[in-house]
Formats: sequence, structure tokens, C-alpha cells
Amino acid sequence: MPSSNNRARNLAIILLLTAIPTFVLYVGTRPGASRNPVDASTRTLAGHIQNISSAIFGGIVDLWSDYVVLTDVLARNRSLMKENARLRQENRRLAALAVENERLRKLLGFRDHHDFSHHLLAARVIGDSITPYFRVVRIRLDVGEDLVSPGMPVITREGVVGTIEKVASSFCDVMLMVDARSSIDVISRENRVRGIVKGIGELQRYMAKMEYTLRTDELKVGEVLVTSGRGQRFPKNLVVGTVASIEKKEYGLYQKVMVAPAVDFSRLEEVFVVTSLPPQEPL
Amino acid sequence: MTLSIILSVSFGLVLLGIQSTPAVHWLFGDATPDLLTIVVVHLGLGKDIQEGAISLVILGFFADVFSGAPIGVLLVTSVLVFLLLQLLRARLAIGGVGAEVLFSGVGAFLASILLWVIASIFIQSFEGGAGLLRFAFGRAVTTAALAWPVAWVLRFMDLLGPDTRGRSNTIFIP
Repeated sequence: MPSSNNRARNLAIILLLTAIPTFVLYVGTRPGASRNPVDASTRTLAGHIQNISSAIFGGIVDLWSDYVVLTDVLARNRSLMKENARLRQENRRLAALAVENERLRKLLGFRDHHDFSHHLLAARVIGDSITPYFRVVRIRLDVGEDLVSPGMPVITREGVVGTIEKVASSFCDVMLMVDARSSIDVISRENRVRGIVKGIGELQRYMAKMEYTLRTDELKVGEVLVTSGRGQRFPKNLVVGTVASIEKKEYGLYQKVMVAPAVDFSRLEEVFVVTSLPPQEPL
Repeated sequence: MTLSIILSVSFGLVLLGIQSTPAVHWLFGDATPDLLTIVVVHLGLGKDIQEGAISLVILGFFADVFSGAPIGVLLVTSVLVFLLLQLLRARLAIGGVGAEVLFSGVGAFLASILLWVIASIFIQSFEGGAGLLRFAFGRAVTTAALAWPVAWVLRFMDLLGPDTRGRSNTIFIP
């Protein structure tokens, strides 16, 4: 039987356990909640842990893939397996290098062919959010960490990735454009229809929606949406996604437009942070 | 108690690191296991409230850091699951790795739902919820599938510290 002292102590623990996290949550979710040294240092620690586990588990996954392939070869011909495996391994390594080379070459080409080339910082994705409710990835910058601040756009060759949410030394949290808290001003490439692309926080796929598109606006499925450059948050004319579906009701001001992102977020490896925008074109 | 807290928090951080690795997301897709909940279940069923609470608050805070969520969302979720388990532990004779595996699955399902509710209440513009039950069920299955080895490691770590698994130190006993 617990003593009354124990009961009082445990009751106090329960009260603290519910009150403090709720208060922290309330404060943390208010608009303009600022980061503090504890937040920055824990994010740095988390970044280092993710960096290590990313390297280890990436290697394990590669090893596992290799194992599956090797087992298959062994079953067919044991004597040929060693030589075959070695050649396959070499081939895979070269193929991977070729793919990586091609990807980096395209990234460099992308970088060189845009007028904001000297404002881009390359970064590598080292961690995903542990819950799909929040579409956030953690990136690691090799250089230029002093140049990065929250709100900066993050892009790839395919298009818009999202914005920097938090920075802790060389690690940054990037809120993807499909996160329910994200919004980007866009314009359709063909019909010049304006709207705001917002994440919808879907759990099983990466999708967004386009809001404030008037019911009378002409928009087509498959039409490409690009950044409008309004508000100087994103460079102009970056691909955000394509119109996946349109639903027009007979009433109301707006139509319901679903957007498929241009970037495959499930395979995101390298990204660019846009540290400053090019001068705005005159209207 | 301190050693036990340090060990469980350290192991929890390793699990969070693993869970947030892109390679793990590629392997499991939408049903990435909720490794944090396995630790929460272990703390809820196997520790007294004081020791469990300290480890839980530290891990819950780091879970928010790892997830990129506003600080407090996963912390509050974990606290609610933990308190529920403490209540169950006081009322029922629950113990063993089997129970931890079962409750890890149930806890992961519950945590997915609670997380959506909490985020919907506290975060402006938060939507989501489409396919919630399917997602929660998938996650519960993979979590339960991985719970046994994780629970086994946690139990092994308990052997290194003093035993605090008695039921006498809880407020929930009438």
C-alpha cells in the first residue's frame, strides 16, 4: 500500500508531467516562437546522431541488397559466384558512380544555368521526420552555414523542396512544401492562374492543394505550377508541381485543386539552399 | 536509478536516430515503426512513475527535435501513452516481453491517433488525417514486429541498474 507521502509525490509528478509539456507545446506552437540555445544545441546533437545513423544504415541497406543478389547467384552456380559477384559489385559501383555523376552534373548544370547561381549552397539530406504528420527533413551543409537562416528557399533540379525552418550549426530543418504548415505563392505556366500551394499533411503520399483559385479561372489537369516570385520568398519560375485534379462546385468562390509535387520527396538526397534572391525584375 | 535513466535515454536516442534515417523510411515506407513508443511502453509498464517520467520527458523532447515538429507535440503524446500504461499497470497484472510487444502495437496505434488530435488542436493550419486509421494500423503492426528485440535490449539494460519494477510506488492503486 503506498504511503500518503508517496501518493502526494506521485500526484505532483503526474501534474507536472501533464502541465509542463502542455505549456511547452502551447508556447512552441504560437506564431513567432523563437529558438533558444537549448533548442539549437539539441538540434545539433540530433543532427550528429542522424548523420552517423544515416551513414551506418545506408551502408546496411546496401549490404542487404548485395546479399540478396549474391544469394541468388550462389544458387545457380557456386563456382562462378565469386567472380560473378566481384564483377557485379564492380559494375554496381561504377553504375552508382555514373548515376551520381550524372545527378551531380545535372545539379551543377542547373546551378550554372540560373541567374542565382552564386547564391546556392549544396546540402545533403541526412534525416527524415520520425512522424509523417510533419513533413520535415534534416540537411547538412558542408560549407556556408553562416549564410543560412530560417525562411530561405530550398530547391533541387526538379523544383521547389521547401523552406528552412530551423538552423543549428551546420544542420538545418527543412519544412517540405507538402507540410500542412507550408504555403507558396504560385502561378500556372500556361493559363497564368494564381494561387497559393499549401501542404495537406497526407500521411501516405506527398500531396498539396492550390488555394484561392477562383472558380472562373481556367486551369487544366497536368498544367505546371511555378513560383510567382511574389513576396520575394522564392525565386521566380521554379517548378512547384503539376495540377493533379480539379473539382469545381456549382457554388462558392473557389475551385478545389490538388497538386502533385515536382520533387520526389521519398528519394531526396541532395538539395540547394537559396541564400539570397536575384534582383526582382521590374513590372 | 540514474544509470538506468542514462541507459534508457541513450538507447532511446539511438532508436530515434535509426527511425529518422532515410534508409529506414525507404525500407518501411508509410509503416515506419514507432520505436519511441516501444521505449515508452517499457517505461510505462516496467518502471515506477518517477524514474519513467524523467526518461520520458528527455526522450519526448528529443523526439520532437528529431521529428522537426513544434517542441511538445510528441512529448505530450508520449506522456499520455505513458500515464495510460501506468494506470493499466496499477490495475492489471501486466508484465513480460509478450505484454510489451502487444502494448507496443496498441501504443503505436494510440500514439498515431493522439498525435493527430494534439497537432490538430495546437497547430494552426494543421490538416492531415486522411488515411489516418490505415496509417496507424500499419505502423502498429511494424512496431509490434520490432518490439521484441528492442524490449529485450531494454530489459537487459534494466539488469545493469537497480530494480524499480515494483508496483507499490504508484498513485493509481486504490
